[in-house]
Amino acid sequence: MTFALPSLEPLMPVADLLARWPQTSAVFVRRRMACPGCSMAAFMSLAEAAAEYRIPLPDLLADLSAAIAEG
Amino acid sequence: MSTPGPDISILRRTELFAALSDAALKDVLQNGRTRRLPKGTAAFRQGDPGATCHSLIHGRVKIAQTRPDGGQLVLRYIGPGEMFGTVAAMMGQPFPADAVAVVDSVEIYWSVETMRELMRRHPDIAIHATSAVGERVRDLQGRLGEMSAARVEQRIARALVRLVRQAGRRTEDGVEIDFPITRQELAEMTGTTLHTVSRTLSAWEDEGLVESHRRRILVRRPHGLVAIAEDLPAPGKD
Repeated sequence: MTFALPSLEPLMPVADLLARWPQTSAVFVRRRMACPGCSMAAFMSLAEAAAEYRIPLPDLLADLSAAIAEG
Repeated sequence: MSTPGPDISILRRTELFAALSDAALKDVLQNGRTRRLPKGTAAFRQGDPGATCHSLIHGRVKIAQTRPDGGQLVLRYIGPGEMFGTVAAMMGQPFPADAVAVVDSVEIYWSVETMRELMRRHPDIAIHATSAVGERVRDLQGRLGEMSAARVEQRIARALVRLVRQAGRRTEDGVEIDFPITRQELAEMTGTTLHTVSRTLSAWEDEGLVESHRRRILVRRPHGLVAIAEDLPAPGKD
């Protein structure tokens, strides 16, 4: 049985992503982003976080999707 | 007739009297006065003559200075077993701060003259006091480092981030702290002055980092504020 993964919404708050898929913390840490545990994670979207850290959004989303797929 | 008083066991885990003999502890106890400090009462006030030495038996006491502008600076919280007021008393100086019980507390205290006598009879007390004072100096050195001007912005940023965590609300323009907070309150939270908070917030407003209207603070750039609070490296630096 396969699951269809929801595609990642760039406007999704970082905290929601981290809550739903905790394994994505590793991606943020690897990319030197301070998001896991940050008070602002609830108020910033993936797109905003990528912009602040000057990381191309598609690259970030690809990494996050891969982490989610690995389970 | 007098009721049985406290026994020497209350002194065993104190800074000043640890490892003294039972006989010495009895001497110390008999020459001291135990007293209840209900929550909110002061053991001594800033400016009182430093005529007594204190040791907390139970509870918690806040040592806080009132500043010239009327604000408070918390120097330290005293826990069970710790001494307080002793340095001022030993130096013949007025107490530099209020000592106020923040929960129902019990203390034991001696006049300075009595404490000096006890120290002559049991020199280990003076040795312990020296050690405890050394701890306090180390503590204050640490805080002095923290309080130097370069870090004021960080402390204010951290306070704002804490407030966001408590009461942040996403709006179109950023994240709003959803209850009124004055610059004065921010100053008291961060151990700085109203002047410094005003100057810092104005600079941040000019940079578009925050905005304040009628005591509501809006964080326009959440990441920017966190970068200051946590001293984050500039992005792209590896």
